[in-house]
Amino acid sequence: MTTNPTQSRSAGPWRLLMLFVLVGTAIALTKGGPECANAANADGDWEAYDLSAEAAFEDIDVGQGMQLRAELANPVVAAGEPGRAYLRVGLRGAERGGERSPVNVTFVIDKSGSMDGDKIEDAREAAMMGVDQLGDSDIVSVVAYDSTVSVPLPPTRVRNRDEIRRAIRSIHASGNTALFAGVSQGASQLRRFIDANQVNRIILLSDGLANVGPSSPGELSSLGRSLAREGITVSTVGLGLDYNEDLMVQLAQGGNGFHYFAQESSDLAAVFRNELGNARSVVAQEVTIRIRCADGVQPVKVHGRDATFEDGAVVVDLHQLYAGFENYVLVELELPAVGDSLERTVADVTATYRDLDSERVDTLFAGVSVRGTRETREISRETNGDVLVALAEYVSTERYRQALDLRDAGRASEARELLQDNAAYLRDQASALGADQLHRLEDFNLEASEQLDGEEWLEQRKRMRQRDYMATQNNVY
Amino acid sequence: MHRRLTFVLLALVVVPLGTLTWLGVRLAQDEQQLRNERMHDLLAARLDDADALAMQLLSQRRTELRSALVDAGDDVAAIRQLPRELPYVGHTFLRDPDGILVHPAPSPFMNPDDRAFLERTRALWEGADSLPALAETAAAANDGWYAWFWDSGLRLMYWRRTTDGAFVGAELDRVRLLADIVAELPVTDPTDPASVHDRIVLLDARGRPVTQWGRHEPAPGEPPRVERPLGHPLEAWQLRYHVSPEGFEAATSGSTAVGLTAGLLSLGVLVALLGLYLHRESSREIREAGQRVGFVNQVSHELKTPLTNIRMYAELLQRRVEPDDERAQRHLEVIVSESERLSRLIGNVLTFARQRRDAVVLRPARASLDRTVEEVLSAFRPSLQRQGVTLDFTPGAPGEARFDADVVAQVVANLVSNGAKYAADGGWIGVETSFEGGRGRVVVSDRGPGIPAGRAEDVFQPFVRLADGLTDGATGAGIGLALARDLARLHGGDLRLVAAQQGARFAFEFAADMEEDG
Repeated sequence: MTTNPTQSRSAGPWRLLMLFVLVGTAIALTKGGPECANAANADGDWEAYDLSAEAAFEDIDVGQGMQLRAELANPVVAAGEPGRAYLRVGLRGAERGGERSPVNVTFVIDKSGSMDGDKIEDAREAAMMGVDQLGDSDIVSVVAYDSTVSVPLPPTRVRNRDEIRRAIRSIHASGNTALFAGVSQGASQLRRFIDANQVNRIILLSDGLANVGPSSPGELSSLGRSLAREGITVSTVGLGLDYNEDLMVQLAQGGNGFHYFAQESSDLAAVFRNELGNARSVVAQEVTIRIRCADGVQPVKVHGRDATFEDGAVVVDLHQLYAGFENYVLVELELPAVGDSLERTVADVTATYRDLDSERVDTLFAGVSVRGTRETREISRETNGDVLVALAEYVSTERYRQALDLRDAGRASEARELLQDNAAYLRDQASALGADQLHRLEDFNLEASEQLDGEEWLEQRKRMRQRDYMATQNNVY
Repeated sequence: MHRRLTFVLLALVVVPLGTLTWLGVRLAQDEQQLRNERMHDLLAARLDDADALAMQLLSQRRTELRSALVDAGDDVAAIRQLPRELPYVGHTFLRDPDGILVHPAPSPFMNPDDRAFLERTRALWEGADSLPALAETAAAANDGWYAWFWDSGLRLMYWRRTTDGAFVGAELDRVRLLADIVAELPVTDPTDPASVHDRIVLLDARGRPVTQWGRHEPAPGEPPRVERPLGHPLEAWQLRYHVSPEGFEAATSGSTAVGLTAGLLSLGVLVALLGLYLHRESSREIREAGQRVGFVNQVSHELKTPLTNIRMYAELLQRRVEPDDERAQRHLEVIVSESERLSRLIGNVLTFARQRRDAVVLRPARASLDRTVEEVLSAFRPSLQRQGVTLDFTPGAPGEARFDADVVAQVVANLVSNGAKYAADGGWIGVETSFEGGRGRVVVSDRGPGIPAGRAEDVFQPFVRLADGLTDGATGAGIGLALARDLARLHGGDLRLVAAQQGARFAFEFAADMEEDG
């Protein structure tokens, strides 16, 4: 096995700590069992997605660069036997200390009739607090929509805080929901000052369904994908229990942003604060990973992410990287037979990205190879736990989604059974791999299995949709 | 008389005012229609602007895609890479001159994306609407848009034919195209008060709204004021302009009603003032006529006493003068008859004045009509004889009846006097009497020039004389016939000019069974 020469620690304490914090705080989102209460961050549940939280990276050398890792689950395989292999390609954003990336953000705010009252007030307050998070030279704009779209605040430097506050305060709720046009117009506002070297982000807040303009999850996903190709990230915030989580998740997924489920409008302040914190901690954009397989190696599947196959290479767009945070791709490959004690190249991995610090496009390389052996013990000794954990995360996430589909189809008991099986699977994997983070996923499955009926289901479904999506994006529920 | 004048003047005010109002309303209606048309044009122009924005976007896309595809040439990798470089491109293709798809090349190991693209673009290569067929007909153009429907949505493909006959194309991402058009089109401006009344909706090919702007919320089923399809190649999409009824009202009514009202009002005031002026003028004339009557009345009174004396002394003298002295007798006769004529004139004037001032009271008594008429005629005979006028009396009412003999005598005297004045040239005056059904009738005819048909009524107006100033020798104040008719009507009858073969023929009728005055 060969890794990127810059990679010094394959499973250093920073990584474990980060996972602990991410998973630990994520579980706090459930607001569920008493055992989770201690894990809840004092600043609120939404710290789970605050990738900028410095505390998580305290012991990391500030200034550490971008890191590309390419690892096989089994770098040593049985000689002379062709077989399946799992390749995990991880790319970690550079550490930057307190430094922040310039941000160009558009708040797209649903101001339809259903937002009237506390909701719109809290949304206004939250947006203003969010703006307070930003630097003076950052750019903010506000698009509001009901039946039609208006632009209360065209792109404005954050230093004009009074003007921004005035514009946000002018938003009042009434009418229908032209969500599609709102996002389209939000993108148009962003484009006026779009810059590849700044973070360009749409934050959509909605508490309802889209009923004017294209409104299928597929269409919104397609819109998000197109915007992501342009370097615009779309994050979505679903408020209350009446919004269409499929649509909101798909839009965020296409737009490569985050999706938040805010059950109460009082949660919005934390959501916006963290979302903007995340935006400012983006260290690289236009991130693409290319995995060129060696002759005889056949890519079978890319788990959990959209990928294209071009000229024998697997291409995955990761779009953005956050400081100190790793995104990975799990690829299933078909390997040809390898001779005993012979090393064979499996793939060359390239990561290209635009570094927001240097404002340059950089490339990292990593090679992956496999060695044949007749020693079965050697095979198991060399097994890479991280890849197996990733695989377990992937497999359990797929089942989690399957359970959601089953419940949607009205087959609640089958869904419950599947979730319970999944929890058992995660429990086994956690102890076998010594991966504590899988226990958190186990808890999510158990919790979901208990909330598949009645009032709780409405809420649980939104939570499941969100966790499912966050898992595919950031490898954490 | 006075009331009629008021009516006439009122009509003078009301009729033109009514006409003007009608004209004004018509004008306002025309104006309204014009305004509506102008409003329609304005709304249509705004839709044109919106359409132009969408068209501008497409033409920009076309320019960008043309240059991108020209740069790419037949480099498959570059063509495949295009959606990454241009985020609005959904998919690309390259078809070589032999009609073989080079990208995306059909194979069992295709990307799902490529597979879906081949599926939805199958129609491009088959049938009469196919892209090659289109390229053949559009001979001059080597590039353009190809629009087709797939999955109930409109798809747009920019295509280009290279010099060697290969086709390259870039399909626009459907949803992204929608988003980009939405972004190009206006947004609602909540600070613009006019936006309250407007709503423009862009509908896709299935009639679903894509986006809309303006704060007016159309009621369900409210028809748009104006609609138009987008330009090529988005003809399947429609722009609709809704305007709230209040907004449309406000925009199209404007100052017409106010202007019309103000115009009519001022015109009405003007016409009323004119009417008032005319009324005052005519009142002055009436007053002046009254004064004239009063003056004549006064003069007549002054004349009456000396005239009575003249007549009395002339009659005394007639008895003293020797009957043989013919010359002296003839002179005296002239004096007597002329002074009698003068008395009648004065009597007329005084009756007329009295009648105007206060009602004449009838004093009916038993009398013979023939005798009454004969008495009047006997007074005229000597002078008529001198004028060479034959007086032909045909009595037909010998019995007695109840009537005011003085009034009847005055009417008859006026009629005969009128005939003597204007028809002496005819040399004949006929008088007939008759009595029938309690009504007396006296017809006086002459053989003079007669009265023109159109002026039959005028002769009964006071102070009117036909051919004023031309009828030499005619005397009188012009009140004779007017007075005669007034008296006839007072007596329950009438005085009319009846048709005659020659000259004038007046028929005087009156009630002759009147109660004797208590």
